[in-house]
Amino acid sequence: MSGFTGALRAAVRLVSVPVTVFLIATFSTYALGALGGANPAATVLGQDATAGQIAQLNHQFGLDKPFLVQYFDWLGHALTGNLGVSYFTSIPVATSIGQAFPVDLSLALLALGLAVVFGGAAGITAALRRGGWFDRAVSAVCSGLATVPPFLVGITLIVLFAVVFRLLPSGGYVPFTQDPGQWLRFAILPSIALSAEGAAAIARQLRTSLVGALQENYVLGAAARGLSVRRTLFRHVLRNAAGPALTVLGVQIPLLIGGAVVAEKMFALPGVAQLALQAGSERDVPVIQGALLVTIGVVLVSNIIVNAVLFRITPQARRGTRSARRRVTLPSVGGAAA
Amino acid sequence: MSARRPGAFRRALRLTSARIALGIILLIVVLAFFGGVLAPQNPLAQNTNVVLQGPSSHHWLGTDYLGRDVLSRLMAGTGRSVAGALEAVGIGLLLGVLPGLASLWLGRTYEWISLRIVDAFMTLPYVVFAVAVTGFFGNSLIAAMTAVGVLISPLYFRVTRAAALGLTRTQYVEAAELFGSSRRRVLRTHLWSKILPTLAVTTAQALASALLIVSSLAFLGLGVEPPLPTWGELLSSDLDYLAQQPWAPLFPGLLIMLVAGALNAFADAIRDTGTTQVVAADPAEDASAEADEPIAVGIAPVAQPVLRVEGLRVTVNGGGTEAVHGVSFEVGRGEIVGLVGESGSGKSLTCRAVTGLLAPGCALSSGTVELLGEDETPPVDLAALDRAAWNKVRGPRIGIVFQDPASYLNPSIPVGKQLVETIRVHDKTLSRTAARQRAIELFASVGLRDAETVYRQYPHELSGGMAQRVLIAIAISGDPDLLIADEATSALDVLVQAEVLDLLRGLVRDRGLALLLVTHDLAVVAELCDRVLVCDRGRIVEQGPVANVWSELVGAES
Repeated sequence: MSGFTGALRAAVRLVSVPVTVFLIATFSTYALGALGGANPAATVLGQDATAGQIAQLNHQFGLDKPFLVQYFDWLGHALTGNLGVSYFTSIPVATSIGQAFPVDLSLALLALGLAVVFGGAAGITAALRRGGWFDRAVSAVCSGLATVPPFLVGITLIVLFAVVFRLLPSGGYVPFTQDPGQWLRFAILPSIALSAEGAAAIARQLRTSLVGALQENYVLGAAARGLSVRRTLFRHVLRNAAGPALTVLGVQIPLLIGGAVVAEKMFALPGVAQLALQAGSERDVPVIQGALLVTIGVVLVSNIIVNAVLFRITPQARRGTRSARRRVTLPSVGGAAA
Repeated sequence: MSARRPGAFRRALRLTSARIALGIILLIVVLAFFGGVLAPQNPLAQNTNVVLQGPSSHHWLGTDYLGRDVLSRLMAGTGRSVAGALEAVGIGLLLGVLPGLASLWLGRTYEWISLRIVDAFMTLPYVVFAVAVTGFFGNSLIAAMTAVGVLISPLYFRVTRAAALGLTRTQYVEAAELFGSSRRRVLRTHLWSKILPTLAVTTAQALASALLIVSSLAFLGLGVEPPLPTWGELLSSDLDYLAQQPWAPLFPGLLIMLVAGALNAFADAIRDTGTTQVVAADPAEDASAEADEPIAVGIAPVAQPVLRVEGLRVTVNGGGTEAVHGVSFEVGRGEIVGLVGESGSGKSLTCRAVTGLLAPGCALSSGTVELLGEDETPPVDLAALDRAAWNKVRGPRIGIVFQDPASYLNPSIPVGKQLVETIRVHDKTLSRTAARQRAIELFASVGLRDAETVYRQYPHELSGGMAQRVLIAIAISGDPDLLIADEATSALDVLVQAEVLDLLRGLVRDRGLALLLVTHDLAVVAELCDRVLVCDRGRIVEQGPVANVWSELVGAES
């Protein structure tokens, strides 16, 4: 009866919060950019510029309009794919980001995959052999990784695989579309470095929720019905225990992007972060705004995906009880790691 | 921050780990203030003769690419690294705590908006935001760490909000308000004392994170003013000379790890000593350890036995204690046998042992449990089965029904699908549609009206009686010989209980099932059972037809 309207209402709920959050986030970052007081006209034109030239350039950049008008102009253009033009190179920001973004996307997806596979396998095995040596080893590695600066993992990998054994390049990049094999050679070390923290977080959360779930009656119920251990684990227990781990995954995504900045610098990758770093040192505001916008967009889209998956696997979320909704839309911070 | 509750603080320091952690933290504080003075050499002095040297008696940790002493640079760099972390955490604390508290008291609109702002901050990665802010405002440590501090504030917002939310629901705060204390007074006297330990833990963790972030940013060249060293800047310059000095990043790296580890350990100590209560180990519920004589009551032979239990002994506590001391009985085809006893009498352990579902730590130590097939098929020794073999017994040979039935179903899968899964696991030739058809027939046969609707429902959407019918449908789906009901009707109200008992009686009559009914409810036994076994302190002390035992029991109880 209300299947369709229910789904519609749920969809509205899944989308309305991210839209508000998107507006708040872009508005405050845009306002910061305006407050920063970078004076591109003076910088671009040099000291000899006349007031008239400066005014003309400011007009060209739209900097003479009221702030709110600037923001909505920028947002409106951004939503149609126009992020403005770099103050210094006059290259459209969308073009630069369009070239750099695939680097991060391919790297982040590989890192996410590694984190899920290795973190998931470690968490599941630790939970099944609770108290055993493997469980203790996983706990030790996970709490160790929480105190390791993210770049130290990367440096260690470079030292081991590029300097000592000379198996992999220490930096550089080949696009996936050009040569997938070469892409993997360049992407694997940064991806491992990026995935370490996420893998640890997933392993820890999955272990905790699995240990809890394995003591639930429905696990006994599955045994009483004659279901195998494997079937019980993968079809029943994981489905219920995956929620918190997925939430952790959602929280990890901003951290993954933050880590990508460091990884890009360390492994000399031509990604968005390098672009932003370069723009930051030149105070090239449109490029920085573009990079921020892409970051906010990626985080929000991945949150929507995570919530949609959570919504699918947990009927409690579908019922829309207040507690369940809160759990789904507001993933709690699992520690303030970098 | 300095107002940590002395109690929690002092208790934490009883732990060795906390004392070591505090020692490291104090050492770092000293270095932060006096690192530049204490450094054995001038951290800025360059010497091109000793570029990139390994550790030596003169340079304990070697030299960098300009011939500067690494140890001295590490010591001198402590101040800026720590100051950056403190600034970020301080800003986070200032921006997070009060709005977090306010979100509980300033009404729903403020709450919704402040939560969205927190969400918005959380979409921004620390590093990316710091890059942007230093781009907008110019590169300085203060700008970079202000950016980080703004993004740390959601953590404080949430932690404070959660702690206060938990507290406002405790009775003594409500009581204090009822007795006329003003809200502010309640806050001052009760709230802060509860929130401060939480804030202390959060602050220690946030400092550890901030230290890592400062290093990450310095690694990127943010918040660095070149000749002055910081830990992250040391790492960054090491990266360019990895080929010559692959071990060089180890020193700043280990130092950062050590400090972050100490802060986390300290946070754990405060949290653990603040909240942990010693939980007494659950004593074995029915531990009578004395050696016991042979079984008092022999087996009453049954016409067509389905289940034969002989001399069953079960140990608990990992084998330390015996809780079932040699139980023997039989259940025959078409017979309903009640296994009764008080809680702790061993009846549930017996039932679990028979179904191979003993909890970890419990074990079947001796005795035989045999499942007898029709006519010529050899009996199955259940005591010797492994899990894979059990999977062929539970379902097709033994069906099991429990108390609190909904909890024995997967909460996130519709019940119909769970029945289909069970059917198809045991009969792999059956198609999905055929299994679905059979599932709906089974649901209808256990008296579920509108079986099609029930098929699509989740366990939490069913009433207790409906859930029990679903569980019974699943239990009989494999057409078993024996049905075991473990307190299956105990949690149901009287009317529903009577209906479920009727259903069970009908199943025994129509399908020729053997039914073992484990219960503490003598009324159920009197209503349903042909025979009864009375369990007490791990033994069967009485057995026979219901009418005989019933009169004796009533006599004994009165």
